[in-house]
Amino acid sequence: MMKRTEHSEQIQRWANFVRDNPDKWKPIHTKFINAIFEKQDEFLKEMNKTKKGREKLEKLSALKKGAKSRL
Amino acid sequence: MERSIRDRNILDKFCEDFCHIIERHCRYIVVSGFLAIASGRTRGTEDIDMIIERVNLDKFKKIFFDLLTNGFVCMQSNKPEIAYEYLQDNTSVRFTRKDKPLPEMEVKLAKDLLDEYQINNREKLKLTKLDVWFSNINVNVAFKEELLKSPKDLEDAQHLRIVYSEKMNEAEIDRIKALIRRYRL
Repeated sequence: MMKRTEHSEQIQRWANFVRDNPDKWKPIHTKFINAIFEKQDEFLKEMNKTKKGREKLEKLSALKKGAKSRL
Repeated sequence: MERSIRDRNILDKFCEDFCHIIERHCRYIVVSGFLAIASGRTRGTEDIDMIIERVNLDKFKKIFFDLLTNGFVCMQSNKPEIAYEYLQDNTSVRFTRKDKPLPEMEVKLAKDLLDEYQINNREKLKLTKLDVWFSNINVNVAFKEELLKSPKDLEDAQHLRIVYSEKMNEAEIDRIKALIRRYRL
């Protein structure tokens, strides 16, 4: 696992790249963000096929409905 | 605003589509995590936080049905009167695209002077390449450092401070932090 200082350095390196390369960072970032959603979607579809999968999905959905925002 | 459509990720497209509908009815801002992600932070999120100006029930019904007509659904209820009760209770209402549980737009009404300040000082951020109104960068940094404070939020603030170094105004950040302590803590 990455130490906090290493993680902080990684954040700084990437933030500097974004600031200094306004035309290059977005395609890299887009692939990363889409991959997260594609993975989530794939996982939820697989879980839905399992025994009690639908029930689990409904419970996950219900968790959010009454959530209060801190903002 | 110039941008390549191919560059838009799933969150970008969801956010812009939603915002363009809201824009027809009232002023809004997108705040917090998605602002950081749209500004290049490499992390995931399931929801985008939006604050809209205080609208009455009649106006909210128009917004609600415009969203429904355009393929969005409200997770709490398909009745605007019920969703509006959540908003009045300072609880957010959540919208997704029909048949797509993620991502979600978490909408709440402006509730105090701090939210009004954010709406009055909203800005579009060229670097994001998105046609979306965001809350002011300094306000976001102040909220993340003074109120939210989770490791994720502090990392977002660290990222924003570097990416928007030319916009950082420590006097404004300190002033907002004082307002947060007064109104939110």
